[in-house]
Amino acid sequence: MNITLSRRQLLAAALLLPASTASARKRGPRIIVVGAGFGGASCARQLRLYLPNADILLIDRQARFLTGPFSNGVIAGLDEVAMITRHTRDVATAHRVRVLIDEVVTIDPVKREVRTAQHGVHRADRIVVAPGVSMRWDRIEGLHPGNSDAMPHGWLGGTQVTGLRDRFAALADGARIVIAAPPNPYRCPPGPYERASLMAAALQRRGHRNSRILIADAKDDFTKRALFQLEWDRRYPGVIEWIPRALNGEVVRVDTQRHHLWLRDATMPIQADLASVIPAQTAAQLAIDADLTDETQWCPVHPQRFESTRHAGIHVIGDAAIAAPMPKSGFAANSQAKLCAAAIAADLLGKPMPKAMLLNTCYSLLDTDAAISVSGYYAVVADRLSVLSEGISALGGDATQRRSEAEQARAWYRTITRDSFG
Amino acid sequence: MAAPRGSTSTRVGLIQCVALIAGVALVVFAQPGRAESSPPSPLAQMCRTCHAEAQAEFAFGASLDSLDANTIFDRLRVYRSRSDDGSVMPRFARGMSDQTMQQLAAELGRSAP
Repeated sequence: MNITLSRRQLLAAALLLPASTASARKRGPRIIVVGAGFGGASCARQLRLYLPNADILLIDRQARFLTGPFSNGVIAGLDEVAMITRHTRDVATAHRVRVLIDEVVTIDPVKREVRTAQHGVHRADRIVVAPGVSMRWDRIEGLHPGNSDAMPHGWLGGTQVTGLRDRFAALADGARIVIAAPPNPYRCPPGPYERASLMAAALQRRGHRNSRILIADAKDDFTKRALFQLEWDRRYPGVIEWIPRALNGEVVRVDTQRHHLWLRDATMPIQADLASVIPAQTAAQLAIDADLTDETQWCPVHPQRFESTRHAGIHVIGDAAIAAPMPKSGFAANSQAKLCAAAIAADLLGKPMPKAMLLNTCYSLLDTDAAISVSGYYAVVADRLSVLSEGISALGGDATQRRSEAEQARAWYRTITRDSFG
Repeated sequence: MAAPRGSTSTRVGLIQCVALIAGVALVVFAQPGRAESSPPSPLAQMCRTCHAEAQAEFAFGASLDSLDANTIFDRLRVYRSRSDDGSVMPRFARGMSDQTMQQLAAELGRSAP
């Protein structure tokens, strides 16, 4: 073969080759993260850390949102809504990723494409899906998205949080409040019981000695139950009543106009001055439509890397994922995001997978200056997520310990929101 | 027979360019420490959520910046030996092996990169 290149051409080629290689390295993999909550935003941040050259696009339909943690304090009127308000675009600046405010319409898990309402199709090498939960409207007769505001769950960080707050603030002494707690699994397991605690605290401050809070439960147990019940008896005697499923506590029917709720097998309804009905939950509808869920309507994942067991290259983290025994919490989502990002980076760079170890703590406020908590340390053992150690606040804890945990809870909220959203 | 002048020149140029390519490639791909430096483990990153780095005003847990690896390892072992559930750290440490603690301490300690 005859080479007839000139010196100039060869020199140009010599300079071009490393330049184009460097350009390809600089361009890096393209990763889309769907959902900018605790899981998605944290994952975007960690991906930037592990893959400095990656093109990372974080998509969320909301420019502004309210966090689930500490929303019960807002509902009870004990915290300001500004405290739990976050702005999605702040994540772009803090974590040096691209942010798109748009609604994801579909995810094609085979082509690895995300279609948004306003900006068409986005292709990716990997997709991380952190869409949260959707409510099931087929479990409670008479309740649907169109009338849910009348018995607001306040569980998804939208206008129902402030709507519920305003209606709670308007209650007179002697009011009956009903909180319908959902069956497992659902977002924030201690949430309904923390809500009852903080409402009781607020009623006490207002001098409402005759108001009552009824928790009508679709299950027979709940996290930190002994602690909650002990503290209710100690702080709010006679104010909070819990009816488990075994005693027909499950709400099966509502009339939102008359503020009536029927418990299982009840012939007469309960009349509520304020009802907060938290429906059963599934993975977000987006994940269901994308074929990421199984028959449970939650997303099965390989816990080593939080990659979907149904579609390679698609990762699911946070509340939508099946990650038991981890609870569906902001802390858990943040931990899963860190593991998932490291695993994606290891895979793309051809490095060994990181050790799959995860942490979680759920704080629950009993009052503004008292809290309890449960923590767990998890690892993958024989391809299953397992508890290595766990613990809960002492049943006999005194006021000083409860106060200390309340301070920790607020400090934790500051650090985790800073870590996740910048 | 003497080779044509242009061909010789091209061969010399080719050798020079191959050398140049190799040289540039070395510069691009073999920066000292680049391949060897390992990013923080996910577990260490989880610790950093509360024990924030260089963000004292946001830190929830005690700052680790002033502690060396040996001190962190010793403290983790003390947490593991505690029987009470009163605070978060004993709950986590109870499930950690010495090896996990050593690796964490090495990553989080003062001398960590």
